[in-house]
Amino acid sequence: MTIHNLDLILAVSILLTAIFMIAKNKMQYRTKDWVGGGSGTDSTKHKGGIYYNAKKEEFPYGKTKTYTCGEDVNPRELNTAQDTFYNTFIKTFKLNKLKKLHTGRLTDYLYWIFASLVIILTILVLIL
Amino acid sequence: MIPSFLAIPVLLCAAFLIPLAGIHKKKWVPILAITATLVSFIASLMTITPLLNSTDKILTHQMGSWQVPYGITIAIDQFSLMIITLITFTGLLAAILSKKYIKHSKPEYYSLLCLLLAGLTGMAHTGDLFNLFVFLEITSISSYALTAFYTEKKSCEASIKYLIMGAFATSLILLGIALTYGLTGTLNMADIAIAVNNNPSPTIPIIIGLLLTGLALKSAIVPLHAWKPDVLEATPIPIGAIFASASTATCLYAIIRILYTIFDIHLTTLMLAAGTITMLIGAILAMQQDNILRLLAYSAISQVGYIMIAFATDTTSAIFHLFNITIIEALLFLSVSALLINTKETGMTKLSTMNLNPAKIIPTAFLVGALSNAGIPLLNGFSSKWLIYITTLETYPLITIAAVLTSALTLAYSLKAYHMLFRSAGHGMGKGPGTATTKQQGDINHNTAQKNTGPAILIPLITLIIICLYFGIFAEQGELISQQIAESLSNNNIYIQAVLNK
Repeated sequence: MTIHNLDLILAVSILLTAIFMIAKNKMQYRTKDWVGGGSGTDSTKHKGGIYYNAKKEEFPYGKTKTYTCGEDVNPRELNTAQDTFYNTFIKTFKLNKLKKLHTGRLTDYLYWIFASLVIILTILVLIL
Repeated sequence: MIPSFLAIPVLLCAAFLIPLAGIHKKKWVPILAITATLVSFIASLMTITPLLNSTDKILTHQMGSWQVPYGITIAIDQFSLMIITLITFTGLLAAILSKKYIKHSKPEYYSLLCLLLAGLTGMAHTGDLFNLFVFLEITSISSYALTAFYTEKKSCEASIKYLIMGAFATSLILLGIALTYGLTGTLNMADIAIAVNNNPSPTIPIIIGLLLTGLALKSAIVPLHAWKPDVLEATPIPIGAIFASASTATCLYAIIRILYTIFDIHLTTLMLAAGTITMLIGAILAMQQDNILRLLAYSAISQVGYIMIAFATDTTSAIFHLFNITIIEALLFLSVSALLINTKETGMTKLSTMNLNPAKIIPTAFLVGALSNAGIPLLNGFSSKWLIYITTLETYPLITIAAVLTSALTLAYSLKAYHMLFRSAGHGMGKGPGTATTKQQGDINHNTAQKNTGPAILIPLITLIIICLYFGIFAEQGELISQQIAESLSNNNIYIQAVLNK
């Protein structure tokens, strides 16, 4: 009996919290505010513990927040560097060693040509 | 007279007339170049009917009415006509796009472009080994000059590297030709084929090795590829489109002509090994590039690997893939050149912060090219890659796995490039931290009001997209044409008899 009551209290409290959160979110979107712009800037103001953009601009991405390392960032300044793509794959298989072989030095490339010539001639003499 | 042969004098005349036209009226310069390439393309199309109506499906002509094998022979079969059509077609599209890309209608640029195309078409026309070398040199010299076109440190360095490595390659080819002449006493390809067949000599492997190494360097087969990324990064991008597509196709044509027609050998093991290494290393290196032009250069290298594997296993798929890759590489480079009309920046990380304001056709063209390059169904790249997978699966399953893996890598780096160029945060949101309009422009159009659209961009890109889709959806047509070409290549006696009138 006691357990039943506790369950009921818990369920009601979860339901109420959910309703409260949904209502709060709806109000937030109705005013077309979005979180971001960086805390403490001129364009932001404090409102209910959350920093809102004073311009009340509609957020273009359907996301509520853009952040990196715990810091809010302006999506316009957000960018992904090229070397972050497939970085783990490249490092795991040590594929960057191939790139390092391309030194840009002409002497190295001429050596490659000479080595290739020797290999091709050897193979052809053996197979023909 | 063979109609397509008209392309060589027309392009050579245009190359010499353009600087003269540039002295008086610069606006005539691109028009002259476009007209010359258009005439060449029409001439190559006009050759299709007489070629298919001929008995042997080979058209021959003796220059100056000299008797075979003393005069210079012009011999066109289905394979060489395909290459000539591809050269003139990509040349035409590059010339059209250059009108928008190159500022002040620089006469030297268009003159060198026509000279480059004349050399390439000449290589595909000739039935004479020394003539092939002469046209290769015409191509090479114009390529070195076009690489150094911007006269910046990067361009000059790339050009000097290319010049020295290219000189090494042409020296090897010339040495191979000299040994061939010493062995057979002739330079006519058909005549050499008979002489080699009648008198096998221990020097033949050395001759093949020298010719193969020289042409492999020109085709940028790993490990002889090092010049290509530097050159494609430094050269004007429409020229890069020709280097990556038509130039590579022509050098591969020369390799196949020498191996199949002259020496009648199929170096299966060597082609498979070199093809697999080229395919994998090209894709792995492309993944690690920040510069979009270097990425595309390594991608082009990787695709050459596929073609080599296909030549070792099934000629039909090799010819189909050669055709498709020429179209795809042209589409990728031309879409990037259309995108970068207002900037000289080519690093993807920086480009992703810039508002380049591209016309809608440009991301579409790049995406079609990238997906086709990766072998996504309904695009032409898939049609030929599928053939390669099927034919290699029976005999070399490990190579099929490597080919599929390379396709996955191709998709990975292609989508990365697409994301960074067209879908990053810097795009479509006004002026980002470094807009294209703030950069110093050099020889590139820097009219800030200029939007990268107009017929000069739309015509090449839409044409190439349509071809990609057509040969993706109606793949059997491309396969049928490739099969006919492969059959003509498989029997070198037809070529020999047609050239020597026997």
